[in-house]
Amino acid sequence: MTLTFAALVPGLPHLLNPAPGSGHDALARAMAHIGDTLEAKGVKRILYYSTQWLSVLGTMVQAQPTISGVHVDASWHQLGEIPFSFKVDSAFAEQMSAAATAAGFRTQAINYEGFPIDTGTIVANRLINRHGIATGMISSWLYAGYEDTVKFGQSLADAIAADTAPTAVIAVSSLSGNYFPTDIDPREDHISSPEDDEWNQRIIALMSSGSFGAADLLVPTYAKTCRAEVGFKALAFLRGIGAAREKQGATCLQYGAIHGTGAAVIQFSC
Amino acid sequence: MSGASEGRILGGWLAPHPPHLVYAENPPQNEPRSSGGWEMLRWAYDECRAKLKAQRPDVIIVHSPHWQTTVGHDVLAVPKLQGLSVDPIFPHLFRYKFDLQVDVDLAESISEEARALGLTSKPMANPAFRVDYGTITSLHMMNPDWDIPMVGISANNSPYFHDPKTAQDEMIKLGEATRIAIQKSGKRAVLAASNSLSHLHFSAEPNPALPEDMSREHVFSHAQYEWDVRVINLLRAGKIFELMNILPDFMEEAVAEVKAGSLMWMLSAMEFPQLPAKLHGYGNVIGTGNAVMEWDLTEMHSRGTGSTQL
Repeated sequence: MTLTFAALVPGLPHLLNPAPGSGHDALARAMAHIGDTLEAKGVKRILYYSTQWLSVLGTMVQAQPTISGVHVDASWHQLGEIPFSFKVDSAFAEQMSAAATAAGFRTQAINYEGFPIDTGTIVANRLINRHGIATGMISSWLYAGYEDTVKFGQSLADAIAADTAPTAVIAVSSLSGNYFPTDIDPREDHISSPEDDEWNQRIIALMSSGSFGAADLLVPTYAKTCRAEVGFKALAFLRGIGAAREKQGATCLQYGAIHGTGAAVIQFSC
Repeated sequence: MSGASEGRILGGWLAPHPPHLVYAENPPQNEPRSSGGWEMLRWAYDECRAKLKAQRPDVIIVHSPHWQTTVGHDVLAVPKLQGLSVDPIFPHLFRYKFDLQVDVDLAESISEEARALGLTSKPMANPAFRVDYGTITSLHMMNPDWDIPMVGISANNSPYFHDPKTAQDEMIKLGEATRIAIQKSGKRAVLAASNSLSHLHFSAEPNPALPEDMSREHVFSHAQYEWDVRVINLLRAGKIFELMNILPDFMEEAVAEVKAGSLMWMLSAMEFPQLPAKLHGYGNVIGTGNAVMEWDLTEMHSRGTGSTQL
């Protein structure tokens, strides 16, 4: 078993240049900390599952060996340019694609110059992967439900287990997705409603106590009530791939808000 | 430029953006090659191209559902935008080298007028910005020579965040802001609502080995087809009020892409013209319903028919 590390992190660009006096800096530092931790654990490959990379015709797995460029977020373009550079384990991308396909999931390994890398993956990689560890990127298939995503994650768990490289899985997703619809002063950023805050903390508490089965049951209501990002399928993926296991409590390193949405840096026990 | 006289909108186009249409045409800007396909829609766009050649507008303004912004209705405001746009859904079909001239003055004015009407809006001023494939596809299909400056407006996420009425009210204000800015600019503008009609689609390509296999192309469902025909008939009859009444159901039942607000923005900018729209063509792309339709406001003005404030 080479799943060595797993975490759930936010992926909004506010984290890269945190506004002074905002809570974004603490989230960014927590992400840097998990980068240090996974390096100390000897991780040789980081797999990103970002709910900001949405695919329609099944799941996509990035297979372009090297990717670099400058990214400008479609929504948060005023935050500036984000240089990025990825070294992708393309052979493992093919293995993941084959494993998922064998399990009945339409999956394609893609290799196109200029393919848009999503902001969440770029932000996470910038903060976590500061020393060029090999990566993998997996899309969030829009039409996969929570249970399907659990099964999809399971299909990749076998590929990871059969491989020798110590691997970290990083799910990139917000918690509650209700943002402020207007510009705000970042110093006054907070979860957009007490109800969302309560829900986020309830879900974090369940993850912290290792009560993932209970969390699974609550996700549909949580997603509907708080617009948890893409049905909070990030947790489904982590469940399937074996990172979020019952009775193995996760550790919440930081919880806060990004433009009203919920953001947490959570490390799982692997 | 038309001089110091008040600017005006020459017309509006429903200009759907399936990247398949660019792929099927094999323009030099797009890397993938095809053997054609989706001719009914492409021939419809030929009529748009001819019309624009005759009209010579100063600017084309496009509202695209695929430039989604969380906060605000943003506007491209960099004089020149260049780069490679790869469709994240259909990268095997659309890898397009774009080179856009933006009418920055008008863009900034639209944003300013939007703010004056109480909307959140800001100019997008970053030259490294990658333009979305919806904007590029609609503009390419309308004007493949790219010799008319453009303004691109984002689709604010409000239709998916607020109730439908609040969201569409924002699009109505955005249309008003666009019209005011055009009038102040002295320019002759053509508008483009870059959206499909019914938007349920196949979850897999019917023939991955030949994406342009027209023997496998058809509408997703008969119910969607009926919705598309109903909407097109209302537009062809100029029954804008009736259309407004059924739009919420259309959005819900046919997952219509008009929900993103492009059509409402355009109709509002044109002051909801009581003018029969001309259907140039209808076709399906991976199951979605797409119509190329035209509102020629120069005809309306010459006939003396009116428009309506909602």
